[in-house]
Amino acid sequence: MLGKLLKYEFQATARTFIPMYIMMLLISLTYGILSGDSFQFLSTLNNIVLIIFVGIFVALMVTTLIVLIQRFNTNLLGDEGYLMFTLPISPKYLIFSKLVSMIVWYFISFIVGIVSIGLLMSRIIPFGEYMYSFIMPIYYIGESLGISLTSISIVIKIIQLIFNTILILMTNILLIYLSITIGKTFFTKYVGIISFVIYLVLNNVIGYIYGSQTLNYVFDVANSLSNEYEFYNFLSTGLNIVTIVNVILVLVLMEVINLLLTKKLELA
Amino acid sequence: MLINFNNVTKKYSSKLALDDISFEITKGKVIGLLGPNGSGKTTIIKLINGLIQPTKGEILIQGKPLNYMTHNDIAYLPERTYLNNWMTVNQLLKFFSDFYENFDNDYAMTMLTELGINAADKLATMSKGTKEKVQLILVMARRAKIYILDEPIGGVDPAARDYILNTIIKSYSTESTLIIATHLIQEVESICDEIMFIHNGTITLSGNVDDLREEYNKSIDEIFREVFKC
Repeated sequence: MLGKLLKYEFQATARTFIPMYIMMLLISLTYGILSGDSFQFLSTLNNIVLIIFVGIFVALMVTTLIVLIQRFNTNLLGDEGYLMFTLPISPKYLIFSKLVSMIVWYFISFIVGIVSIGLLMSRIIPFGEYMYSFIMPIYYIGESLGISLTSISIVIKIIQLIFNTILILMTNILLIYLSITIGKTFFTKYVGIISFVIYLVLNNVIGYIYGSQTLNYVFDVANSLSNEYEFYNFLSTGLNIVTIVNVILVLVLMEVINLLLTKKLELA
Repeated sequence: MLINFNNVTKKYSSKLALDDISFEITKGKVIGLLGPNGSGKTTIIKLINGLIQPTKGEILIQGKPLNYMTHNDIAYLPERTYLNNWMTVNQLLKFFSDFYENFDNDYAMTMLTELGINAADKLATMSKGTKEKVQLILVMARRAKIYILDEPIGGVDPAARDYILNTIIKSYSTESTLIIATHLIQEVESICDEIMFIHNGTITLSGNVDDLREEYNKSIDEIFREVFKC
């Protein structure tokens, strides 16, 4: 069932994302080619290029956020919810399919963003060199710690780091879902504003976990370490703790939203 | 027993939508849920489907509290357009086949052909009436135990109403129960076995259609007009 839900979720969201990606890549490619023919205007062009950079990223972020909110708000808690909540499927799957599809789109958006910038600057920095520069820093960090990239432990840590990035992204998406759910479940007026305020409050609560006190503690310990190996071990332990906290957060948020959508659902 | 409402009350904020109502619905019946706009018909239907929760009381479907698996046995037609507008009818048929194991795709295709609806068309390009027909076909093509239709003929032209009512009656088996909520009593009177009059969140009158006609010596439509006289 989850597979089928994901299929429809991608079908519904691809209609927005794919044309946007194509448009972005085409714009970048066009400007990339144009910039090469007019090197003498590089300074003016740099400004234009910068504006396009920013424009592309803002467009990507705004669209992704709108789709994220709209798919949950309209498809589950709007009129389409009459179909989705009368399917013989646990609400958990409904939430999860939306969450997974958004994570995938975030990932594709990130790749498309990087490629777009690469294309935009293709006459200034050759595209291949540019893409290579994204992989190099990881290699250098590994080398500076005296650990080869091929070492299993560093590969595991990199995977763990990526996993944590996904978990943090999931937490943020689930916070938005939860805020909308609370807003729509318990309020009938000013739902949008109330949901936004709930999001700010919840975000602050979650932020407190990673707040200044925690950071100060981390810096204190990090300062007391004497060599790179100790620092690496400290990072490694820290990453393990963060992973556990993030997994718990995601599971708790999923369960709370599921409970609200099961026991307190109020479709207008 | 297919559906039990035990002392169910529903409030929206401070507004009372259903006031301590109890009833039972058995299988093999066509039941008309009749009442003026805002009487509580849709509230009852949404409660059966778990789209809203009772403030007080208990709702049982086939003797069990509602859960997501219950939806397999209930084919529900809401009073609004609830399907994805960007989908074609073919995509919707696939969607229903994917999620409802009791969906009869061939039967749906036959009905679409009979009504002259092109399955390759997008829902967004259809008129309100055609959309309603598509929705009705999708719901009636399910082999469910309970069919719940909320104002199924409200938006379609009178000429198509007879066809739709015939389709409804033809589609449902005697093993299932059909609940039709409407304020167009005259149109559905002939197909109902039982009726329930809802007014201001209470059941004001209910019973077998033939018995009521005999008792009042009037048609259900006339009784309705008398009960709900403004």
